[in-house]
Amino acid sequence: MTDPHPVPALHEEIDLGTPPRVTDATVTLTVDGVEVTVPEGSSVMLAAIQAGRTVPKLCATDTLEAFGSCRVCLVEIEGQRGYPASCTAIAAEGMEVRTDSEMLAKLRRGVMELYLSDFPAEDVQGGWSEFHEVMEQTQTFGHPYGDGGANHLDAAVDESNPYFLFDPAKCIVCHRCIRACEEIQGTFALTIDGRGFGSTVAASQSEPFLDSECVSCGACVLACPSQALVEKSLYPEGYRAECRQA
Amino acid sequence: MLESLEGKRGMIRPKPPLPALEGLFGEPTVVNNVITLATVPWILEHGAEAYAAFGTGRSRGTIPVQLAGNVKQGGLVEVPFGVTLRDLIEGFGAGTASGRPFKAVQIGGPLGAWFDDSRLDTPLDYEALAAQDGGIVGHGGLVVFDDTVDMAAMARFAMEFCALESCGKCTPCRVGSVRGVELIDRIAAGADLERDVALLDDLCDTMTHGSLCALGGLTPLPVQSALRRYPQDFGLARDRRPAS
Repeated sequence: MTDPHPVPALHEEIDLGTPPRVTDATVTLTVDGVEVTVPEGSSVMLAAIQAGRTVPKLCATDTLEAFGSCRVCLVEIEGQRGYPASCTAIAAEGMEVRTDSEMLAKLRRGVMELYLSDFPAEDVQGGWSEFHEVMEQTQTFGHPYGDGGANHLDAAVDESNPYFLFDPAKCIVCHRCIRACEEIQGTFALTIDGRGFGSTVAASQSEPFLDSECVSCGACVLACPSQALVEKSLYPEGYRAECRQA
Repeated sequence: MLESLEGKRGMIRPKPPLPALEGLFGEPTVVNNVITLATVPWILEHGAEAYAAFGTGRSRGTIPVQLAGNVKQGGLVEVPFGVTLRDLIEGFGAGTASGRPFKAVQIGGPLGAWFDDSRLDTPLDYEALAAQDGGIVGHGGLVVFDDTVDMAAMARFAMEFCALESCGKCTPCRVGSVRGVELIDRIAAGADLERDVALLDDLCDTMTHGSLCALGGLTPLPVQSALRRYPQDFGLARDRRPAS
């Protein structure tokens, strides 16, 4: 007798990096020699992923519009100067894209070293976030800048919300939480306070999450690529005790 | 600027789309600087050919140069492209205000490259400057220093300027500029000079090629040109030329 409620096969979710465009017009380009056809207006990143290539990414995800801040998705495009971010570069007919070269690997490592110079060393191992995935992809697990530089490692963890916490030490300032709050939830509760190195994610007027306009929808937690916004249920013994030793 | 005009946080927008296609409030927007707008009436009065008769090579017309720093006669001079840096500093500027020997001039603005005496016969034009360590015309600023300037301190200032001005959007600029200041301080302390200088060069490459906008992308220009042209100010041997 057949199961009246068959469980559908689980499909591996592929994050296309930028939102798919729906249009009849298409462009055909090559990514690392692989020909791929995508709807007009698609990003180079989406085309690369459709072509089966892997492009490291942190600030890009296909539920949010491209932002171009993290600088690990850089590619080379034949006939174009420099190393454009594949999330904000738009695929064009006949474009020849390279996602891998010695220079791209060096640049991605250089950027990851900068991230890691302001990331808790004890959280490099054992993490499961997209940030950790990019560490693997770029084979970068440390940085050459030494200890004692400016950092956010001692910033207070906001545990005011009953469901999730925010650890600024693990925040890579990719704005995904802010954009999720705006673009997906429409709550506009989050922003960046300060600028430059002092940029930090803030809820409402730099209030604790619970006191802010946050409605606890969780869109920011889902969007966070670095476990800075993370569900409390993962740490039943308490965040400090299980994760970062205070 | 467009973000600010729209009432948002002043952060760089990635291009494309170019503002000419999709700018202020999503509408086509022409962005011009004041020099361009100020030039238009003269061109309308005298004709494009008369304006193009000024200049040299592909750099046509004139540029208002801001002569500043340690120079006897500072101020604004509008010159045709092609006038040499020496003409500007020693001619219009009448040399250093202190009377001490000239050491360095920063061309283009706070993100411009440093030029030493051996390169002062370079004409002020886009191509000639670019041929010298990637120099830029920028906004036409010339800031002159005499032989008392410490070029490692000037390199530090470039990184500090970037850190102060950084909007914080992209990582090479947001974190890189802070690490740059720290590295130059370590270089000044001199404990592990060779390693730290190589690391500074690497960091500059990451910022040059990885930054989202020209602030992080050009900051390495004054840092690396100071390092290349004045290695002794960083405690390095005079003949040393760090790899680019």
